[in-house]
Amino acid sequence: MRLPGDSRFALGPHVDGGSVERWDEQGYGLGKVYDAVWKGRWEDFDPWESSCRLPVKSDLHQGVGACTAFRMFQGWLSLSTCGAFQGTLLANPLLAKATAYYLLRPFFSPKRGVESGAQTASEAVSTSADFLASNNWELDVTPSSWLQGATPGHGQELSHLLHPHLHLQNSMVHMPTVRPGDYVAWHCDTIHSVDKTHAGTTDSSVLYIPTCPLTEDNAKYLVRQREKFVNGLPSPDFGGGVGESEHKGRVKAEDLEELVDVEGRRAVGLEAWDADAEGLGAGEREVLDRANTVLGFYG
Amino acid sequence: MMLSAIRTLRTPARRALQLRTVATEASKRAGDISDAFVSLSGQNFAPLAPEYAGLKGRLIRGHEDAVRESWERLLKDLREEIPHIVETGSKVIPEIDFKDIDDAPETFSKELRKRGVAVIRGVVPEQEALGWKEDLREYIRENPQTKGMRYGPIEMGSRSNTHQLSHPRTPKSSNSTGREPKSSPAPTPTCSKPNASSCPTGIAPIQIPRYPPNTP
Repeated sequence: MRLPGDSRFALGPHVDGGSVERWDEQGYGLGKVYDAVWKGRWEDFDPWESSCRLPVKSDLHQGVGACTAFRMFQGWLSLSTCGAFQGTLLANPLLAKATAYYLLRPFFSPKRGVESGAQTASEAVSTSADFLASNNWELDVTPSSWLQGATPGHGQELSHLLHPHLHLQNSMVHMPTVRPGDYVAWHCDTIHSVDKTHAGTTDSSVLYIPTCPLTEDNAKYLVRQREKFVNGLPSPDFGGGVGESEHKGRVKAEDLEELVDVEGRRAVGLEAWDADAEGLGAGEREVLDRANTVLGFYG
Repeated sequence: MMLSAIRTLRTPARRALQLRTVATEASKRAGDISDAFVSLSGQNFAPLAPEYAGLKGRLIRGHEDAVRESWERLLKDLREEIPHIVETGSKVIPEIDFKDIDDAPETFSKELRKRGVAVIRGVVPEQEALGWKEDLREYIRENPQTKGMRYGPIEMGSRSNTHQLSHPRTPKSSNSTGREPKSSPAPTPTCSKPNASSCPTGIAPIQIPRYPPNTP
């Protein structure tokens, strides 16, 4: 719930799902998610191939707010009518190419326009054609320890100084005007940001609801999350504290019996999945079975 | 208040008691969104520990020439595509009505695959969504100590809302645009976790504590 005039929530372009983990062999490397990029074939990188993301560890450094579950899509449901510059979301719609760029950027350095060894130039230089020209960028003979915008334990950030070829000042696109009840979804590699200042006249409110496939690891996350929910405590990926454990009107696990249907209770780990339902494929049954086991529904 | 409508519960705490409990894990260090991002925590970006140089070397070893050539192709591609995006603006983001999502036009799926972001219209009726917001305000008003909300009736209700998760609904857009997972294929049931964490773009849960109810 962001109110008009707010500029404190001025989070610039960033990507969720870890930072250094995207390069780390023990992070995204576990699923070889970006191997095509590392081999010089970014055109073959398919951001929609989701099975390779199942083994990924996206939180190797105990980041506050870093997500330990797999979210194929980030998303929110709007509770406001909200347009550009009114406290809304911006996304970079380049997806695969932008991903390839922020992954490869750390392997290259500019030759002209920077002081010796520096990675960034002034804002004016950063947007100049000469600075951005292909012949100004060289593959480092000895790799540096830079991973532009990545810091262990913190989210991946992007900026036009660190990532000049993305022209982020212009290529971050506002969501079209949304109305209450509209849902916005964006891919887990997508660069996104929020309006620096909320210049609208009414609140900009969303319910943040990502889209998570049921996987064995997500079922394991759900076990941890369920316990937090039952006790009214912040979810496992957030900082600790009493959370809502002493709130008036907090929803308790037993309240969900009446509040939502069976699918709703399954989504929060309070009801077993129906692995015998008609129309399921063998793989679907298998993962539902595994999830039920992980969640403790099979004894 | 939504919960006031709930009658005497038939089976209080039954499910909670059934739950497998896990050993209380170590909580992450305390902190909020400003801890999650370097630029919000007043730190600067800098080279990382030397191990990362070694890691980078291993990643592209034997493919240096291919990587160099691919970078040039990439820069050329970006040079061509970004002006189109800047010119098109928000219209570059595909949209679909929720009622059409089970039978999405190929143009929508194609654009979603390419753009990685989409707007799905009318997942919840507008008046219902506005009603949720009012109920949320009341929950905060009743609990002025609120620091980030997760388990209010609206939050739990919406995360468990049949339209939001149910069957293939919301994820359908991903199923129809991507190959199905090979190794763990259950795209059908969606696990929309309560408070699935992290993304600071979740304006609601993170911003709320900064606005006590008496703030205009």
